[in-house]
Amino acid sequence: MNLFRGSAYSNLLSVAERAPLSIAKTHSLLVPLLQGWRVPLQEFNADELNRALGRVDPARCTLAYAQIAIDCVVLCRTSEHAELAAQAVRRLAGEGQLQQFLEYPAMLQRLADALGRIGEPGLACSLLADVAESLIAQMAADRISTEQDAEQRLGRNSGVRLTPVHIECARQCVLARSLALHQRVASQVLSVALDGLGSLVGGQRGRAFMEYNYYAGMVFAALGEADAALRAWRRVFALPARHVSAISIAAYKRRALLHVARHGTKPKLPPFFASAHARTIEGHAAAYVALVDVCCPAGVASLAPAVAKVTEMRNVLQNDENAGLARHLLHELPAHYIRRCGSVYASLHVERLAELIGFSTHPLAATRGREAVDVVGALVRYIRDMNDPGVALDESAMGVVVRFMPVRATVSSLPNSALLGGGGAGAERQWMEAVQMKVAEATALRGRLEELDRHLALTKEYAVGSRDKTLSNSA
Amino acid sequence: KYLNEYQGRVKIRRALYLGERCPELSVESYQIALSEIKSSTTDINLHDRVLKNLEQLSGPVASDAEWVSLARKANNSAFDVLMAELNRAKQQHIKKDALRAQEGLAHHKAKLGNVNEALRTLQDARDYCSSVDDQVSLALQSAWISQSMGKWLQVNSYVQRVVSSLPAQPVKMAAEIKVLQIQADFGEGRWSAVVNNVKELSYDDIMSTGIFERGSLTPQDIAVYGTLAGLAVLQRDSLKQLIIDNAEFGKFLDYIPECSRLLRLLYNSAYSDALSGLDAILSLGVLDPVIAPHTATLRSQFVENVVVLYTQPFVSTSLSAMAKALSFGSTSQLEAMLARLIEKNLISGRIDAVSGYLLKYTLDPRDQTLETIERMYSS
Repeated sequence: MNLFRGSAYSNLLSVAERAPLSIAKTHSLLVPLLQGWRVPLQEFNADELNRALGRVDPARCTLAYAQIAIDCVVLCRTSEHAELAAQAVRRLAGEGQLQQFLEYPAMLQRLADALGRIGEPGLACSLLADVAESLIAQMAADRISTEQDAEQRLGRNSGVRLTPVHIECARQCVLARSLALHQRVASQVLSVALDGLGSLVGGQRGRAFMEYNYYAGMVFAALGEADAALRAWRRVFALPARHVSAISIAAYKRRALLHVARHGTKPKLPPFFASAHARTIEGHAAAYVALVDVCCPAGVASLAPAVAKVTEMRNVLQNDENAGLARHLLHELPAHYIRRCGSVYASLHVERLAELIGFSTHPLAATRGREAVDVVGALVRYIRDMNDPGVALDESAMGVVVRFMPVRATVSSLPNSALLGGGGAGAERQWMEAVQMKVAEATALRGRLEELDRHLALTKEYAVGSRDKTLSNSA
Repeated sequence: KYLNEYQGRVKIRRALYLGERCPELSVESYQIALSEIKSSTTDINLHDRVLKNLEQLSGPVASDAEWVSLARKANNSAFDVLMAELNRAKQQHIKKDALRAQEGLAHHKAKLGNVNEALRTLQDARDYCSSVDDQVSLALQSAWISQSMGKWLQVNSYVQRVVSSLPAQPVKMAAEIKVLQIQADFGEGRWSAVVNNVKELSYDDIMSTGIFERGSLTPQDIAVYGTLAGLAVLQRDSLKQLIIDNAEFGKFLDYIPECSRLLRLLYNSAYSDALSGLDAILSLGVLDPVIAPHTATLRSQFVENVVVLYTQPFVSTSLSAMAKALSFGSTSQLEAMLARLIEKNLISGRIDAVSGYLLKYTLDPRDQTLETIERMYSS
């Protein structure tokens, strides 16, 4: 007797009830049904959908429940519909079983696509983050439970694999432009190290990896976490590829701007990246290459060429949606120029510094016909905001003087090092700390390399492609 | 007197260069050039050009129609004779005669002013070489023809060909090559290469080659090139060791005492006088086709060298005192130069623009090591 007769989802519900995947996957009728699935309703029918959702246990029949939830998302047109769909997805996130998604990974792509088209990035991101966090927790728990033997456990490897939900979550987070969502996704989803691409991503897995890291970089950049953003964008170039992609070109442009803003030096593509592809990328991003060259001169230089170049590139930056990063770059640039003066000068008057670096041409100076003293005042305020221990202001009878301190007090022979205090003992201590830090870094890197070696040897998908095949003996 | 040291194409080239750049000596220079054209070449086109320049400066000049007619006849007959000889040698497969005929043809073309054609002819003559010595001889002849026209890159290229074909050259040839290299390297602005060749000079070997009698080069040239190159690149100790105390080079310096004086002034830290001495030499150097392209570079490198030497003994140096001692127009000019030298790591110091001092420092070797390690492990 079909308990679900009369419902649009009667077939799905009866199949799900009779043959849950956990019993006998090979005999299950559910997967073929889901593969050829068409939404049975023409429009959002709250009663029908509520009834269907109420009759399926998401923990027992995760795939069926997920499909109905997806239909809710696809059909919703009003805020009430969206509320129902959101409830369904949240329940799926809270009670759905990862094991069942592994039997039919395409369901995750379907879920991600549906939520991606919901039209409200904030809501989509929130729901996707719920699902992603649940998946991450289950993948990490499975990893620990299956690797009970301490010798097999691979230390820091999280067991978490990339899924379409990760990618769509990052994308919607970028579109949502919400600080709270950025913080949540960055800390709960993007900061979790991935073990690998895994079998949960179908189709173009390389593109999926690149997209994920590209969007992750944008989220970190929006939060002001420049180092994390740069690391994510660097990973875009990690995959070997036959051709250059638009994703890598876009990542290159953003990385160039942020790297110069953060470090004041020219960014380099990773050494393992093919030089032919590097040249192609630089050809497509020639304006950015020229901008980086102008912004990173050797020695003491004026800001004027850099400011002029950014102004000249205004249209290009706007078309590439990099205007925000360019503004950030312009804001950070004077700091690097000031620090470069420290490689030549021990101290100089702030007026002279303003003249040397051409601060009057910078938007922060914004003279607009005002007197020169405003430029100096703006520079003094900027240096105070820099909060850099290597650049100190000294207000004396001679006027405001900028003093450049050595990077470390260990450089006791440099001028102004006496101003740092601490004496000889302090210098020795700092030197020892710096050496110990480097040794610890090197040790950690060596340990990580050993872990990765073991991981590669024990992970099936890498071992499958291994060339170490036994030779058959002819005799 | 300056031009009388030279002969042939080199003299003509220098006279014309002088005439174009020194209005007071133009007429005399062009007259000397005209006289040399008539005595050592049959280049009618060049004769006419120089005559025209002279007429523009000093009014109508009677053209030597007899010389022109004789030169034309000589050109035609020489060409016919050489071609006939070449053809005969080719028909009879006598390589040596063909080689000599090609060489003659090349020199004839050089006399006519077709230098590129002359070089091409010498290049073609390689088909008739029957030994390494023949090839080396051709390369040397090409080098001298290029030298007469001031094509320094070509001179160096032919010299390299000689050295690679015959690594162990006879003493005279080695001396000849050394002199050619010194001038060519100077012409290209490669001061360090000039200094390297100067330290291996042998005065007697060079004099025995008869190069200076040919009028392509003078001992004064060698002295000036070596002095200026040494002042541009060498520090005090190296200057003393390689140039001042170099007995062989010292014999060349005897020809032009101003160079010896300049070197001693710099070594004795009389920087202001040394700069004046250099300016005096370079004021004549602008009229020399080899030195003129490099006068500005040489002066600026010399001044940089002097600034570095000046700051070496002191822990701190007053900028105003240094500017006065080194005859800088202002302290800010000196500050700009010091900033450049610090950026190039030629001076280990920092400018205290507030108190007006340059403060020297020596980096602790441990910090240098740490910075090197940090650079190695950053990506």
